[in-house]
Amino acid sequence: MVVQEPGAEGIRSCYACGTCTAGCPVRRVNPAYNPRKLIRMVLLGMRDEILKGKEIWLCSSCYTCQERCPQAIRITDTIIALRNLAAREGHAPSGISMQARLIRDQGRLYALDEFDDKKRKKAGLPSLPSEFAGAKKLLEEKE
Amino acid sequence: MALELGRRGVPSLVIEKEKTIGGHAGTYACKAVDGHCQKCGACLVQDAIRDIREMPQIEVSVETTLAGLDREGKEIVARFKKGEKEGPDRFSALVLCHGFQPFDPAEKPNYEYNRIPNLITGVELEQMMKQKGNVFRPSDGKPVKDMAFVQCVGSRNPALGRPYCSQVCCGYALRMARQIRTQNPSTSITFFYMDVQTFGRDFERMFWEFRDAVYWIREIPGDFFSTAGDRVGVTVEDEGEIGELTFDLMTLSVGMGPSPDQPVFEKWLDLRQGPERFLVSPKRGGIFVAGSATGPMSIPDTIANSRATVTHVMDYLEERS
Amino acid sequence: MKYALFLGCTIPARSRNYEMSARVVAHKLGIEFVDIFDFSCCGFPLKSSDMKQAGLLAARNLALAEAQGLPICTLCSACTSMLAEEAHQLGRDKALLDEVNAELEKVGLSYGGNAEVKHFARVLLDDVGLDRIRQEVRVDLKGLPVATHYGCHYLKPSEIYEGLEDPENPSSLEELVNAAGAHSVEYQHKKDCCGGAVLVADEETALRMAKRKLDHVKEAGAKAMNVVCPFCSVMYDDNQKSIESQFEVSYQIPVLYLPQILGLAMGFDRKELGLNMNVVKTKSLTEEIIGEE
Repeated sequence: MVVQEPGAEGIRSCYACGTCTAGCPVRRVNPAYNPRKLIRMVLLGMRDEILKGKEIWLCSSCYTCQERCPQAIRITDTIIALRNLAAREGHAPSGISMQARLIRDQGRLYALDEFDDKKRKKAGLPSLPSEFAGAKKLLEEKE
Repeated sequence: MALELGRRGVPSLVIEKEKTIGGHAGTYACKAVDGHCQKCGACLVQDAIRDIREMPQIEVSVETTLAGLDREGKEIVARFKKGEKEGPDRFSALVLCHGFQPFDPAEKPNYEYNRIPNLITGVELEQMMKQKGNVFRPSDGKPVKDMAFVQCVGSRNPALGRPYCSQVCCGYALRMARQIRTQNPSTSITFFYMDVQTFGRDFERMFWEFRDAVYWIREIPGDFFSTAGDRVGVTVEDEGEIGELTFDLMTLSVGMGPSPDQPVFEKWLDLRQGPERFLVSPKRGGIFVAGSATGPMSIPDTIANSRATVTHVMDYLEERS
Repeated sequence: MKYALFLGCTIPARSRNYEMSARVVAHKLGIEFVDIFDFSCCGFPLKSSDMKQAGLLAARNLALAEAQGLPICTLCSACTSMLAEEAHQLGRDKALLDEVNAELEKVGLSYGGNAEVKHFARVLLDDVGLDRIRQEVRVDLKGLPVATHYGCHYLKPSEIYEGLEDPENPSSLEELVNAAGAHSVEYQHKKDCCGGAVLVADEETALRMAKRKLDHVKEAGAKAMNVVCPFCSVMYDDNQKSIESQFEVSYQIPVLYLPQILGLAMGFDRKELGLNMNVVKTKSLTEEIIGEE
């Protein structure tokens, strides 16, 4: 099912060479994150373990694995696709959901208030609108 | 090819652009261990070169380049140039055995080939073994205390347009490793691999005999860097732990790819590429492609392929006359 | 050279020093920045939750710039990759373009497929050129040893940047810094990611990633770091003290944005370049270069 998500179609060609894991900057400091293992788990259909787990949220989207994969698998894009699936089922970490909510509501991560505006003026920078009002309309969920 | 044709009474002209015949395989070392042949095939090439010199039906023209190849009716016309001498010559049949090109690791920049010391290719290791009889660190000529081989360099890689297994690299790397280890029993050997492809009749047995002398890591490294003492470092996951391993010498077991001369032959003779982008030997017209010019193969396989091609050539010559 | 300046979310609120220094340096070098006040978040932080929606936000920004006939100049590397990737995809997938335009219609916009997205550093390289930068140097940086951090989204995914630079062997940012009179030092694992994108999900992992880079930068003897993305700046600048206390190490390495380094060489003062806003103190660094103020 994951392979239907855009970007994840190529994962069936994985022959577990380990190049992705070998070059992963996250893996180097955190052994819990292992892209080779994650792909294997997807191919084995371990849906719950992946979507409810915290591993997929550890990817730093540095694209090193995707650049080096000999089978040209879009590993980073696959992780993002997995995150989308997990988020849809309510398993996103709170920080991520909060960011999503802010952007969907106000079109920016940080709404610029008067305080920010004063600071900008003091620095000689132009005023900016506090938020993008059309975000809700543009991003409304379709069923 | 020429030898087999000669043995059947067919005269041939061997055109070679380099100074000597034998191609890449001619530069490879014998990998015998304590006098026991490891069946790599390197000596078969030397034997063939010697036999060719002794056979009167074969004329060898080295340092000769081709300016064109054309079909004219039932004949092949070759326009060649050797030093001052030029000329077209006519032949009844043509066999292309222009060989292959070893993969250049510069095409995969994270290997840092040519950018860090003591990182060489399998071909360079062969040449070092042949010329010096033993292995040394290129940076300072010192002996090698620990070395590693990285397999599947430029093979099994669709992202680089090389999806095939080159069939020879596990073989040559393990045979050289075994020879090096026998000559230097305290040198440790590590293999970074995906699968050990044991092609050939005797290789599987040889593999099991040598297997325990090697430290096997089922991972192809991603980052290559240079560390103190000009050692080569890689970051890998070994036994569940992520760490950095360093070596005096690292060999990239490069695979085989089409020869740089291939496009020219394709153009002159309207030849087709196979799925692995090497040449396909045409079925008719007096033109044949043999050996590694048709795809990756070992020395014994090349000889077998050439013998098979010879029967096709003989059939063709018979039909023609 | 006229560009629509795309600031994204973080810079106008949290990295005004990057914005200030970029604006003054650009102006001096003849680059005109136009502010499109309708720009919204590029979409990057929304990607993990819903990549389609994130893509829509990006597409809307592209459409706004296209409507004014302007190429986009970005300061944040994440914005660069988000916008460039969307432009790249929409340029090759007609079905996707139609789908996106059907949505954009809701807000009265349409995207024709002609946007151009360039990171500020690329604009400097392509439109201004290293020679011009060298000519504008007024202050001798005396070969100040600077460790350049490329980050990830400035170079990858490489296909959206059309092979401009090899992500395994980059050189553009160092060339810029060297043209200004500093000296780019080589250091171990230069290509390492800052870990910024992991911060929200797992702070310790992210800090460990940043620590690794800071360790190597210190080892190489650099007196400052050069960054081109606010995420990276948050990791190395804002979080340097946390890393120092959590792991009991000491760095005291100022982290400067590229235009702050270029600006110092061009003769701008601390105030104009927002150097008081950098978290790791830059006072002694600038005193060394331009004397006390």
